[in-house]
Order: sequence, then C-alpha cells, then structure tokens
Amino acid sequence: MKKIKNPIKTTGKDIKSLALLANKILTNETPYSITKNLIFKKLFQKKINMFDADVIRSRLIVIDATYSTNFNKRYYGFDDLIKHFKEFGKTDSELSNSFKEFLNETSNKLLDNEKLFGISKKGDVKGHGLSLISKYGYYLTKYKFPIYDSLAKEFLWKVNQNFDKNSIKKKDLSDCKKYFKIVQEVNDKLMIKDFDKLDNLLWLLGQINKGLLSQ
Amino acid sequence: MISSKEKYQGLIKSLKVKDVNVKYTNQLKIKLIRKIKNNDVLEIRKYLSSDTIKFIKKANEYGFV
Repeated sequence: MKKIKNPIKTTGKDIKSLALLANKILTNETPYSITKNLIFKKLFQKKINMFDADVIRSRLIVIDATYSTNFNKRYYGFDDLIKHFKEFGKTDSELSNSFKEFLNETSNKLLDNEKLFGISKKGDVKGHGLSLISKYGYYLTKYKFPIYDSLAKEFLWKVNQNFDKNSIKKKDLSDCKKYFKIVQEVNDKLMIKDFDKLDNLLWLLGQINKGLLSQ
Repeated sequence: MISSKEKYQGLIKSLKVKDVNVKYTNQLKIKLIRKIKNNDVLEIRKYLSSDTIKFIKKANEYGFV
C-alpha cells in the first residue's frame, strides 16, 4: 500500500473523535466485543481475596491464547509470572493497585524490560512478558491500564507523528517505563483520557492495516 | 468489524480478492481503501457498517492505514 503523500494534519479533537468511533464499532456485537465482554468479564468477575495461583494461571492462559502472546511456548513462564505477581499483590485488589501505582511510581518494577520469565527448549533464559502482563493489568484494572504490544507501539507512534511530529522517539517506545509515560502523555494530549478507547483506536487501526476485518 | 462468516465471505467475493498466500490480506486492505476513497461503496455497504467505512476513510486520510 502506497503511503499517503500528504495526510490530513489532525488535531487532538480529530483523534478523539476517531477513538470514539473505534469504540462504537468495536462494542457493537463484534467478535472482539464478545470475547472481551463475555469471556474476559467472566474470568475477572470473581475477585481473588486470597492468593490463588490456579485462577491467575487460567486467566493468563486465556489471554495468551486470545492475543497470541506466545507465552505457552516457553517452559515455566506462567509459573515465574505467577510468582512475580505474588510479590506485587496477593489479592486482585492489591495487584490492581500495583498496576495503577506502576503508572506513577518510577521504582515500581511490576513491568520491567530486565525481568525475564521462563526458559527455552535449550534451557536458556527466555524473554520479558510485558505484552502479557500489560493485558492482564488491562483486564484486572477494568481497562485503567494501557496495553503494551508491538501493534500499540506502532500505531501510538503513527498517530502521534501526525499531530505532534517528532515529539516522541520511536526507540523510546521499546523501553517499557518510557512507553507507559508516553502513552499517558499522548492520551492526555489527545483528550481521550481513557485507555480503553485509546486501545480500541490503536487495535482497530492495526487490524485494518493488516487487512483483518473478521474481528 | 464483520460479525458473521457470510458477510465476511461476501466482502471477499465482492472485492475479488484472490487467495494467494501472504499478500491476501494486503489485497483486501488495498482494494477496500481504493473503493472507499472513490466513494464506490454501494456494494460494500452490505458487509460493512457505515461507521466502519467512515473509520477506514478517516484513518486513510490521516495516513494511519
């Protein structure tokens, strides 16, 4: 697809209006909304009031399968991640607060580029789990935590480039601490002020860009 | 975006997307955007909501897709 030579320059208002439209499209009985509203709502509806590794594991497995985050391909990845979560909260409420704290607290290491989970078939240490963790946080906090993945990074950058060119560096989006700072700033600049609607916008742009309209 | 298999099939047939390996989804996007840009949407309205068509049009104008 040829890039548009002179794209229309947007304002925060334009993007907000596009995000609201994305939200309207996605909440209207699409496979996306069915998965989100039925499956995930049920999975996170019953709150954990004492640490329950089985419930956390079930949630993680469903998120991993739905979003193809490929965590199941590493050994002991889920076990490591469950232990990691336990350090940040034994109940849903505590862990949810840790996710919210992470957005403002620089010393919080709930998400960390350096923290690795699981091992590969050869026994080497595997990668970070930022995408899966952020999605767990997104559902646990009822969409008050932004999603971090390659699609969100790509379209956050594209959207921001259009209305505020070069205000963010693309490479900064790969550093999770910087990413979450940037995503909050962009969310405010765009006047969306709602991570769910911002995610709807970025997700829908990604699907259309990939020609995947069956979602 | 497209809630049923029949509608999705209809859109693919209408756009005459050839099922040729990896470029298939690109073809779908390119043909769809071309139709929307040319306001040739009579046929695709059967498969996509007016909101989705509007979203794709705007996203393309802004250079996002």
